[in-house]
Amino acid sequence: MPSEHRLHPYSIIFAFLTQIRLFVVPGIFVLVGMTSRNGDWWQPWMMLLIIPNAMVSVLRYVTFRYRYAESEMVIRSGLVFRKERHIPYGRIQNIDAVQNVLHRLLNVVEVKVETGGGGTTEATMSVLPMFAFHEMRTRVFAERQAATPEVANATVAPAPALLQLGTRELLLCGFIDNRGAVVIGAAAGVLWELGLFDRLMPTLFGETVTGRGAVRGLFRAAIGNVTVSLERMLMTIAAIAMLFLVVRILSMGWAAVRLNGFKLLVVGGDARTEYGLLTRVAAAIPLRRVQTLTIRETPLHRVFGRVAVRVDTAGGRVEDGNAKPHRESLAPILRREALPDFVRAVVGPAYDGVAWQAMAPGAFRREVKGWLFSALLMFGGLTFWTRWWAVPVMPLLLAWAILGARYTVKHLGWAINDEALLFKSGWLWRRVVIVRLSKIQTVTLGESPFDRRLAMAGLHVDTAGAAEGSVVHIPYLTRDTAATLYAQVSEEAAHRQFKW
Amino acid sequence: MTSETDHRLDPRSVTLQREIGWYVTAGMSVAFIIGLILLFGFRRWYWWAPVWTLGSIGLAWLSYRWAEIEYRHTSYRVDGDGIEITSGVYWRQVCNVPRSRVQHTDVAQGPLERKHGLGRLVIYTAGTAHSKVMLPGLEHHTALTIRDHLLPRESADAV
Repeated sequence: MPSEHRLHPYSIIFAFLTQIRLFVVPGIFVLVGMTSRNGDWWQPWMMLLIIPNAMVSVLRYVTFRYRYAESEMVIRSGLVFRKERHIPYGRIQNIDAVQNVLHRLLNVVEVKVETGGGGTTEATMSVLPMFAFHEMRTRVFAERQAATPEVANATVAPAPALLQLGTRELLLCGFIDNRGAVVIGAAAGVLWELGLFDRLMPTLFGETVTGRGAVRGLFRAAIGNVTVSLERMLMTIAAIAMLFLVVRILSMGWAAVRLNGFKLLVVGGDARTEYGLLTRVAAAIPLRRVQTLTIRETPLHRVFGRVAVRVDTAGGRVEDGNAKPHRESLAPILRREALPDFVRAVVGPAYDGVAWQAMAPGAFRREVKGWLFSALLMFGGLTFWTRWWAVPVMPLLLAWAILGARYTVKHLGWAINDEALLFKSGWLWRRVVIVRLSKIQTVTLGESPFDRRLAMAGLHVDTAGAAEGSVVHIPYLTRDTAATLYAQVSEEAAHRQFKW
Repeated sequence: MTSETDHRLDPRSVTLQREIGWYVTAGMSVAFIIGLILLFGFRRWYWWAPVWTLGSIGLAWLSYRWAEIEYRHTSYRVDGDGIEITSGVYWRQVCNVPRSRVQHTDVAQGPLERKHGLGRLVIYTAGTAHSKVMLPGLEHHTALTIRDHLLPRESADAV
């Protein structure tokens, strides 16, 4: 019987720290809240709950064992309720490692093993010594390669990095992605908790409808009811501009730290990414497990000639909105010129010379109705707020609706080739989803009453682990096209086994 | 069973749907009456009795008709490649589950279904939106046959 391994003794420390983070941060707010808001006397005592929790985490460390069997990994845990989990190597979708600063100081690592089943991570091992992580990777990937002989012959020699991001690219990535809003949101939360929000907001937005907050003043001035001094107007505009700028700069800094030293390698059929300055993440995704590949392109991406590429695997999705360990894109930022080669390296020749097909001729007619409806709603709102000022805006809204519908339809498209079904959508925020035919789970042909009037139909293709942005739902096909495509895709999905 | 033709559901499923329809109608009628009484009090609610009667009759009629209409619009086809389910009256859809993508299958039977000798076939895939495809209203034995037919033969990895 192979020997069993345990977690690193430091696990207790990390479990403790997690508990402390869970309890102490709200605890501080409770204490602060008590001074300012007359919190209930029992609230601080709630923090004593940390003690049983901490004991549980110690027990977990003591009882946690894992070993490598011939074709599977066996994890045992639990004292009262024993649990033994067998994870076949072949089913492991990816093994991720996360190392924050403390982890790195102590030379340990938190390991996450993901399989296709269920919504969450199959096994989290917090924490393992570094060598154990390397051992796990070697073992699991070696076993898997033995199971698929073609891979074993593949070159395992260190290939050149498929993507490597320098600081300049990372700053650009942060600028485009604009995750600074997250930081601002957190700050707003803290302000709210500390009760500063109540003091800050009135000066900015005014306390009631008749208030004199800066933004509101600006809005009213723009409508023409009230005159605002030019000085005050400029100040407000400058403040808002500053806010946006600060958000962008924060986002850039955050990206540069979070993705520091981003490197993507393809080794023996696995895509391995490594990044992070403070929290070091090493993730490995077997390429044959890639279900869909999504290319995103925002207006800012277009300005700089960049795209972002994400892949979805069956593992690591979340069903009920629990805290999801955020997975970075496979390529957070990528030069447009490098895209075809990149996609080819990840999913094969699916994106080479794509012959995009347009939607059915009546697509504009269908699309524009929705746009006109929202334009009408906006017009209604405007009339309510500004009375006659809405009238000159109406042609603008109409033009916007018609143009929007036109360009949205123009940028819809689908294509199919030997490898994959492709779907592109979006006018300003564009995306291309590439679904491998071998990964299609179900195919659904849908026909709504609106479709029926114009002899149209839609096609929905379901894959494992499809995230929000990578769902393929092709609308506005002519009924014949839809039926043909449906038959073709069903046929392919039924008969295609995955081949390397 | 595994021919290339479309099959209808078991006709008894119409009876079942109608029975469910009766229960729903009865339940809603009672809820409606209680609501009226709470809203207008004991002395006045019966002014609304005609509305209540019409509403209940309408609901009963609709659930009676709807069972049949739905039955006419539902069919399935099982062949060597997998199963194809057609359903929906206004929002129609044809869902194809290749046999190689079936993770596992259940045949479920509620008390009412058991009374009518019906079964509900539930097909699970590794997908996201359609990870659970249901085909209710089959004869129990037919459901079992289809289930056995759909069980994955080769140990290919669908994910």
